[in-house]
Amino acid sequence: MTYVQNTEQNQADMLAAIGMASTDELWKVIPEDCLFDGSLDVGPALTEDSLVRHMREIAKRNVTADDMPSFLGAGAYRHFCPALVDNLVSRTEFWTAYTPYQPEASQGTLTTIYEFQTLMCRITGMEVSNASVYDGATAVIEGVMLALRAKRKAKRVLVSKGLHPDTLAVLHTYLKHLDIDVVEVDLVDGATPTEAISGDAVAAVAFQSPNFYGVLEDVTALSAAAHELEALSVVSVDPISLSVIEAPGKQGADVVCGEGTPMGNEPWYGGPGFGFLCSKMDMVRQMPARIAGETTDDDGNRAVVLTFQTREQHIRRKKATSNICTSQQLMALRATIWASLLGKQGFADLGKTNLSRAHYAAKRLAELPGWSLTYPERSFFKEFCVTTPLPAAELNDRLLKEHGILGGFDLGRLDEKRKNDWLVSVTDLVTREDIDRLVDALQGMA
Amino acid sequence: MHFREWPDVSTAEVTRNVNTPACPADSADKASLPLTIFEKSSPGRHGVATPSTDVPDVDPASVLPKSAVRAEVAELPEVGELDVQRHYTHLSTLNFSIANAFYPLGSCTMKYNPLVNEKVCALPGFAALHPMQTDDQAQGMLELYWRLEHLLCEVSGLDAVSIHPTAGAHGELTALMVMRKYLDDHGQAERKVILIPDSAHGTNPASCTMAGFTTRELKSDARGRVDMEALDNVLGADVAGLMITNPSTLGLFEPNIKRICDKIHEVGGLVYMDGANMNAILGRTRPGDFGVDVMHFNLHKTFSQPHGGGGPGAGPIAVTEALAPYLPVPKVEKDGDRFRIVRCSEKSIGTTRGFLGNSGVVVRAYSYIRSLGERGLLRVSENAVLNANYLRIKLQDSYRVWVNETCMHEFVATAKGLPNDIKATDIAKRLIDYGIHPPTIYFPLIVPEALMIEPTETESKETLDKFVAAMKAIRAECDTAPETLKHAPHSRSIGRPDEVKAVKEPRITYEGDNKSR
Repeated sequence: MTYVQNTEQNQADMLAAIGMASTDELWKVIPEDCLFDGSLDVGPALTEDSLVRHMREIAKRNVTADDMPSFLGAGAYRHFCPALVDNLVSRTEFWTAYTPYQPEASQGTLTTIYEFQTLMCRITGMEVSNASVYDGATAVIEGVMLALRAKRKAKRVLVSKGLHPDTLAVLHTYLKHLDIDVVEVDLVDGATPTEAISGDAVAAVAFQSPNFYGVLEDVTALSAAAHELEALSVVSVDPISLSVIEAPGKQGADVVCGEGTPMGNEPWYGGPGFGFLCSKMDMVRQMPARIAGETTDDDGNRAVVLTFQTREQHIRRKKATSNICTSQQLMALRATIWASLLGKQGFADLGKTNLSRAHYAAKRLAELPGWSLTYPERSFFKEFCVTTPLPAAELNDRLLKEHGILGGFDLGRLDEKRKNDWLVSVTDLVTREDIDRLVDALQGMA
Repeated sequence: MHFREWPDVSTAEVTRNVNTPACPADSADKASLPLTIFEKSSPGRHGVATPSTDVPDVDPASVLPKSAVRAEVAELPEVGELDVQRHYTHLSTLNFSIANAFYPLGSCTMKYNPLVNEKVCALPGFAALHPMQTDDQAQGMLELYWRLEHLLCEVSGLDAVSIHPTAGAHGELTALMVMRKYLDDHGQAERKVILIPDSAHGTNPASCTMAGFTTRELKSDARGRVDMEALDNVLGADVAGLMITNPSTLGLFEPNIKRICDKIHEVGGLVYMDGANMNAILGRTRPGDFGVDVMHFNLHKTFSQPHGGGGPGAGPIAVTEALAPYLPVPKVEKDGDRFRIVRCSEKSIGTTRGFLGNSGVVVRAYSYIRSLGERGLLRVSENAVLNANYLRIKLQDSYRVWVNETCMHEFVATAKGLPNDIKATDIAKRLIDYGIHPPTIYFPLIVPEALMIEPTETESKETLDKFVAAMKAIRAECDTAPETLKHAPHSRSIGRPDEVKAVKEPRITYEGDNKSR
């Protein structure tokens, strides 16, 4: 299969115009000792039908939760997504365009970025948002680096162990190269203890709420503790949780960021999704990545442009706020359309459904003999930790094989001592019937 | 409103359409015409119904601390499904895209995005796969990563690949970290300087800063190549490496590339290649063979992943055997006939994003390469280079080509010296009236008033001829109708926006309904 449209005649005509006898002459500018004369082992070209068959075969080797109840979350969540999202995002004018460098030819994309920024600010209670970043983990590191720019002299950051393990890993990797001291804060009973927020020259206190273990953190107290140290509070959130949980912007957060993928996107085995990053207006010049803003054109029409570009790498080069020069625009567009379709009431309703179903599931699981909530004193939204009589790995194995259910996350995969801790996610796509089936199946395993 | 597809050049309309054609606005109304979905909101209107609660309703106040209960519901729009459909359908028509216009945006490789790739990546077996599932449950996806790694090794001539990085700039950063770790491990911690040609993408120096390097600029010679004398002058014991784009951002193959790599190696440095322009050389020459130690790919450029209005992409990196142990984790390994993710590796730099990678992009890139095969890949580079040279020759009499020699996939012309003080931006804006997306302008920085033109291989000669006709017509307008150019475009929903105002009176969020914050 080829997507080249030039015919042999086209090629001959073009070569004649250039003054070349054959296309071989095009390669004369490459030194002879650099030319590749071997053959590439890339397999035979496949026609469309055989390609689809080949890809279906490979896809079949995956076990997916598409048509089975899933209680797996741990940082990636599937939620209800209206059919219209897929339909609108599949408009080629959106997905085959690029970064809106020419605003007159890109008002569609630019307006959706402006809407996305507005949406994220309203959900998080913040004042500025960028057009999105790679993912939730890189959103947190970008938030921390923003704080390091704002607090130039401080060379230390405190990071809660309640952050997603991938996020923690990314923080360590990036900050090692910037000579920043990373201090991990241990959890107490599943939450970040406020009294552990201490130290000198701290630029940022980064934590997640609800945290990786589903536990709701005290955003107000942790942010206040950060401010005591003259540090910024960088809070990673699940945007869906902000349907019922107070906006971090109203609880003292300076930077609110996280994984936005649950809003209208598929899990995609981890990507592409998108991360979001929101802050306060007085930090707009410290923000990384694309930002759109409203203005007018030469005739008074309302228009949207990319703005504050002097922060960015194509102008500031080595002094840029970040090397990021793209956004995860298509995924952010999905989120924008998704949120518009749910609307004010739908978003609030969705949150209550998650909260109600998760609490129903938690109650039923905790009633099983030998089972208990790992952090019974803590609050949660849609995900919680249970301590089980059998190893979580065994439960998951049997649930999948015997009942066609994708179980929760086995915390033993991260920490050998936690083989009997099971992280259970219950979103709006999990029904009461699914929960009852899960509980019945587990009852039979005792 | 729709674009006029390929208008007759001689009669191109210059009237401006307004947002709402049925309701032409005078200037007083313009500020009140709705722009965003928020302005189409009506209190009490509902969109889609969300899944109903089938369990006892839980009052948030009964399970959350009082201070954690949301006091005010987020002010999302209150619109119906049809409102949403019309709004976003309309917005889509305000975009130029590959699907509705020639898009010769230099350095971005805006080629056709095959639909079969969209079809296969939407298979539930890929799309609905959860990143925290066990390796046993994700064998197909892990196999795809492993297979794509092999394909990228083949075309790069390098030994190992990581598909972890999310974008080109992310690949740069990850690769620089790999270089740092390798040097540190070999007692070369004092090497801190990365040499970067003055024609480089801005991401190169920005990534260096984030990886803890300093940068030293390398001057280009009059022909846009690395100045070998200047190179000798900046080499030293503090040099960690060179970041070079080859073919360069001027669209030129670096004739001294082997000598340059040798010189860097002789002083103990590593050579990094920015692979943004791989499309030109697929199957013709391989970075690993001419001395490159590490490079990144842009799967969204070379391998047809749609650009999505700015993303997603993916920026895999390829390295030599010596650098392989330092690649990031997680990483896929083949163990007999099974695939597994290695999450911890002694020498690895660690993790640079969440989860394994942009898997959806991996599916598309793999699918694309398999659809082409070796012969197809060769046709890609052949036609990309043929198309670019054809345009260069056809336009050289109208616009000065900065380095007018056989180019690779793109070339850079300049608007400097055009009559009536016409700038590159005027040419770009006027092209929009002709239904063509402008080239990249004002880059590379070493060319004044740059117009960077990359046609890609998927355009036919007929399309290129229409572009040439449009460019020539515009060149004539530089003399006959300069004011038309200076106020172009005239055919869009908006004219030139006031970018200064956007900074001086920042409006980052819509607040006209007084509901935000």
